[in-house]
Amino acid sequence: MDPDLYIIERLRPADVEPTAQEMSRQRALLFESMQNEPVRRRKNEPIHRIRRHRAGGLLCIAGLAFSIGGGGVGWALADSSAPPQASSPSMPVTVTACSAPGSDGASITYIVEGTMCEPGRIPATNTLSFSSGSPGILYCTISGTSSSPQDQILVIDSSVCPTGYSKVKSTSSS
Amino acid sequence: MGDETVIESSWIDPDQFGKIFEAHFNALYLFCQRRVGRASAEDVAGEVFVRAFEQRRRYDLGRSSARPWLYGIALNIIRNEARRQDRQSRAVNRVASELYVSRCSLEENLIDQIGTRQELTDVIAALDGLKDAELEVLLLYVWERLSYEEIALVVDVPVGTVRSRIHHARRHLAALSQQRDDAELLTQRCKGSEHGPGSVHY
Repeated sequence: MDPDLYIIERLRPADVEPTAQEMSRQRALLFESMQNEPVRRRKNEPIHRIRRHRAGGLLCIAGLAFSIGGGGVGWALADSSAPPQASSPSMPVTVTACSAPGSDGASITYIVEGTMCEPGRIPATNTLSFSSGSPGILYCTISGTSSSPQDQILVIDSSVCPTGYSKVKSTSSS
Repeated sequence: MGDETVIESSWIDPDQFGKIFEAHFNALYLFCQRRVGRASAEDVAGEVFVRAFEQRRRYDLGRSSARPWLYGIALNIIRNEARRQDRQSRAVNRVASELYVSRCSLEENLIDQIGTRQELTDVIAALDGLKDAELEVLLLYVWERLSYEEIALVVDVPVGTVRSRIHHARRHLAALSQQRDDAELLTQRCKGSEHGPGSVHY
């Protein structure tokens, strides 16, 4: 470093890496933006597959798949024809979106960050850790049970929907 | 696969943009932390990716790394927020600063990092003598280790302007350094003369 610039270099604050929770929160916000983006269709472009869901006051996410492999993390979306795959921490992850009509007829997916569902919500079948050291993200239904479904849920690492839910799509990480 | 390929694919498949987040969030977080502090770094970094996602169709596909583009978005967010806060604070105490890299926050860093009063004086003199635009490119150059071309992308000015600003900033800092050396030399001479001609120790 140029000695004249050393005085500026000295002012550089020490790096403090983001926590897993911070990263997870912002990842979820980006998800939300992706979901809320208006579907655009250009000439000769296939109809977009993204389904629109009502977010309400909660974060909304649907039809997303996450891949964990080789230490890296990726997000991918596949259509329902993608074959489900077995999972392990180092294997591709399958995410299945299952739906049931809500009270107003709309399908909703809710994602709640943390390790416990809030009162009135029930956990989906599994949690997903994005990387080693990061907390799992728990997917919860807003209400109802698998025997009396009201909302759509994401079933992580499974291609089978609970009783009472119908499969919207099954996605596998690449 | 370069960022430009991922971003282009996200035009059709938005979820592809998640790869940009995974690749650059950490760096953006640290970048924001250096500019606005740890308390706000998360929010700003997160906002960068939301805006980048919204603006992804405007990304220059000739650029293989999205990082300068993301830095530029971050600086815009920080600048706008600083202006907003500035408008608020002006109403209270008329303290105005258009500098989005807050000199105050820089000087707060000095408390921990600068040991002596002389050093503090030097740093304040260095900062005071730089224009905001010069300080900004200097921070991108020294702190972020960006090339002139990358800095030009971040601050959206021609490369020649970046070169000129850094040159001017260097010249200013070099002049200060020379003044400091001269002052030290003078101090040493004065100290030497206090002992008198016969008190030199061998």
